[in-house]
Amino acid sequence: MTMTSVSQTLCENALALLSEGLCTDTSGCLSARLGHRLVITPEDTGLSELSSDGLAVVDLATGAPLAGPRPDRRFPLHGALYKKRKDLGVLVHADPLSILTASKAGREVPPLLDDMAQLVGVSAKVARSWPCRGTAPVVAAMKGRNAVLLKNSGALCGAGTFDDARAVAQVLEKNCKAAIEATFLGGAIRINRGEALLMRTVYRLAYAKKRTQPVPRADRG
Amino acid sequence: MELSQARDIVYQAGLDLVKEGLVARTWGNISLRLDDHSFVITPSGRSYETLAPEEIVAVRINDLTHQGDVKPSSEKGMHAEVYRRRPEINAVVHTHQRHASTVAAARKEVTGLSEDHARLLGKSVRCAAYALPGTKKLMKAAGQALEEGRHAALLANHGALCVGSTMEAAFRVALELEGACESFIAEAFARHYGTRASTMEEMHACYLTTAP
Repeated sequence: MTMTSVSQTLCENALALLSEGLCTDTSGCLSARLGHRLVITPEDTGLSELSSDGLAVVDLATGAPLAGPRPDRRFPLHGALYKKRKDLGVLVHADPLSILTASKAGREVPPLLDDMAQLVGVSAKVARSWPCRGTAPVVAAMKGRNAVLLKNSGALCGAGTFDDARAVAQVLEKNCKAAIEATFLGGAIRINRGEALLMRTVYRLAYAKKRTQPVPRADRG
Repeated sequence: MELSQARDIVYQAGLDLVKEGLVARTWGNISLRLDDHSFVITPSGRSYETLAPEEIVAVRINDLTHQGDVKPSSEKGMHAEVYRRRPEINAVVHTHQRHASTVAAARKEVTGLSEDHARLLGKSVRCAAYALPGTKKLMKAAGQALEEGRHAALLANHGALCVGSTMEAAFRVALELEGACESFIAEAFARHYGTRASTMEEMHACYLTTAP
């Protein structure tokens, strides 16, 4: 992976996030780990206007900007997560309708659909303190999960690749929609924690296996 | 039906379902009956956009064995169960569509269908009892939920199963099911809040005013 290829992939995925309705031009933020650096969208540029040579580069260890324009204000949060979670290669902010509503409601979202248990984890917790109390509560709320709801401002979704991070955001949006709208139907029935953990473990094992094979073999169902 | 023709139909249905937003990425699965003993189904873990028709797998209905090296969907048993129980059904589509998934998370039966929806889907859309994906329990539950000539069933906490005499018919069932579930949610909202909402944004705003 070179800086050029990572930057191009980030810009392509910014447009994909927009076209999938997972964020808006001004609310979205994407970053990718590149060795000891992180590449992130700049503070004052809409996602539709990004160019691969116009991204910000930040030193992961010190948080010091290394190149490019001023990084998105959320870069300390991304840096803290990359430092803590070696499994994360990319992070994206998503705020489609249901994720945003759930983040405003401020309650932990349980697994209501099996793909949520598999891709996101046994729940999506809400981190209330960002940015007032620093990054630690967000990192803690995302522990063992691939997404965290940020109070009033959508969700931060992470994975090894942008394609997988967008999948995490899509699945979280569908599960949040179910959590909200099932209340009109009398309430959702959650998947029990043991089965959610089982599905998560099986998925992660299949995913790890898939990454070592030339042809993907993860479950479809 | 010839194997190559069946593969082409399944391949094209995958692309059409993605276009309609009824499946995405590697989720869901699609099958078509070849004859009384076998069907073809999408493979395990492949995205519809990168799939080639020759990777669609032929599976035997009675013992679920398959031809070739490509692994069929882990939900092949659920498809086989439908073909075993319903000789008139030739196409099965398993989707993770949004509105149907919401109702499936509440494990509700979709009732009060409009005449148009009832003609296509059946007198109601039942929700199959919860079971882990790929299990015999899910296979049986899905088959039972489709009883009495129904063409759609919800799978608790999972998604939907839509069937038809042709792939085109099963596809239409999936589309109509999404409309029926959207209406079902809207009616439930109106009963819950005593007012109708014209958009999902309005529904969510109301939810936030009353959320505990």
